[in-house]
Amino acid sequence: MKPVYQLRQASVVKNAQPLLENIDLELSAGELVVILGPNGAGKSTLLRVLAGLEQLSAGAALLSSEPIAAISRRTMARQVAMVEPTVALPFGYSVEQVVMMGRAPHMDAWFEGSEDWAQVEAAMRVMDCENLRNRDFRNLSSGEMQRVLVASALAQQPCVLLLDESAAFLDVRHQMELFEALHRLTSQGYLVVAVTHDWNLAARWASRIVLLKSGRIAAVGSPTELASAPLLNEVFGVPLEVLEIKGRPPIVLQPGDPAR
Amino acid sequence: MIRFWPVLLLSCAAALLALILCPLIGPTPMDLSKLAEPESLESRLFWLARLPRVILALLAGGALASAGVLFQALMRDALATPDTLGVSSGASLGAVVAICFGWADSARLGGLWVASLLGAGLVLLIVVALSSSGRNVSSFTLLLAGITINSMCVAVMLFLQSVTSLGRSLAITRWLMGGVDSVEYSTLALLCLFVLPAAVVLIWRSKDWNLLAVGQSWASAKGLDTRSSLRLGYAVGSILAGSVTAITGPIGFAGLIVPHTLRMLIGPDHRLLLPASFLIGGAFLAACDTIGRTIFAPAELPVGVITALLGGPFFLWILTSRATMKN
Repeated sequence: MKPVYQLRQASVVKNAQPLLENIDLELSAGELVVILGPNGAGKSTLLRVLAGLEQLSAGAALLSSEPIAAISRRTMARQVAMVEPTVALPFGYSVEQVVMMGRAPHMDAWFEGSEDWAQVEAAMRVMDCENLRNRDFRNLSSGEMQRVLVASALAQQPCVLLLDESAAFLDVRHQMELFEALHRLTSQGYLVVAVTHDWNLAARWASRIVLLKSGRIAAVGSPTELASAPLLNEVFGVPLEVLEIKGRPPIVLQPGDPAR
Repeated sequence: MIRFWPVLLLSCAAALLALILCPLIGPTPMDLSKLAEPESLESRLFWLARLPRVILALLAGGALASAGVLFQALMRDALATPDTLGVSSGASLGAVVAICFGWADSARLGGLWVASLLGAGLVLLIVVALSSSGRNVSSFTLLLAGITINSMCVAVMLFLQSVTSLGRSLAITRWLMGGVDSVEYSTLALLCLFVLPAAVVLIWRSKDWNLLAVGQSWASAKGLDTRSSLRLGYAVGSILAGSVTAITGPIGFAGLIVPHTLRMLIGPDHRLLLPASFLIGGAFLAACDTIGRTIFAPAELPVGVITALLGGPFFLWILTSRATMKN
């Protein structure tokens, strides 16, 4: 099967500052890819490149063999949905209205049609936010907001879902439920790419992990392949220890270092 | 959107009511039976003085309110209006320049109009440049920029007024008082040519403003070509604010009260908010003007005075309620 995304020597330079350097990466349908790395490693930039929101300075980024820069925003939004970590609304849109905005790339009519409502209902059901539908988005908790944002992305009926720190504000139950939902989507043929700081979530759910450091790929592989203490120590700059629980490798800060 | 048609019908009714009722109210009582007689005093007063004045107020109020809604969405701030951003001052400056150099001396309004539109567009460009240089511009920065542009425009206007001839200086003063006057029907027709297409374009693109109100990054992620939408929005906003200001002079706060109140009542969906603001904004300005010309009759208060007296405290109220929300 052809990969959904192909990045070849992709680089992003902003204000003479290299944010991403020579990224080579192929991502395929059915994968749950997690991008990990310390702050400033270029995780969000990489995600924005995949979303077509960031222009490459050099190299190539292809979506289904087509250069991303050549794809119109509308066509892009029908294939790729992006979930940002936070959205600050200046006005009181309801949850339903925020989810309905995900229908924008599909709506030609001025009013939403029955298909739009069906997709919005389905998306809200998947993200367990039907009971929030009439709430003012601004009054939601961070976790509820995140679920609504994911629902809005699902309403776009994309084949690729990009998530930036989506699990960061969720409690343990909703974190698990989010990643279970993402996992279900991948088995339906979605490609899911998530940026997170949580190795343990990644280790539990990711089919592949992309480790970034200073704008470069430090390593790519399954959680088990990357679970080596020296590699993780090198990338994150702190002494870490890899354990093993039920065949999955969570990590912990190495004990006995009071300075940390 | 269950409430769409009821709210729209109600707004239409309000505008229609203003159109019918406001010309009947005034210091000279109207005898309805004489309206059909072409030569009677009543019919001349109604058809040539009051009705065109009310139509102008409806158009101006509608244009300013919908421009307010638009700027609030594009700047993502409930306090952005043509006057808080300095766009109205830019249009005023353009008009004053036109009067000063005699481009507006003839009965035709062409020069005044072009200068006013250019002034509004120029100021908007400056504001947009200021607000897109940083990643996030606070409303505080926008307001400060607006105040600064306002003062600069006023300074230039005062300078021009002091060096021009007495006759033109008087014309400038009169114009700067800001108000709706009885105008020729041909002028109204010309204003319609600017305002109505602009309003239709605004309403037609309502879903774009919904997406942009959330954020530019959000809008592009949802498939919007944000750059062309923003450009269209700024162009249409300048046309609305500039073309109205060219005729009425500056009318402060007309783009603030109605949009804000309506947003609280019917929600922020621009598909409903924009048409409702246009209709109710027009009715509101017509009502304010009717109050202005009757309350101290036979003296007349310019409608700009009334809107400023109502809008100033309203603005401060939004500011303080927002400050308490943050604490």
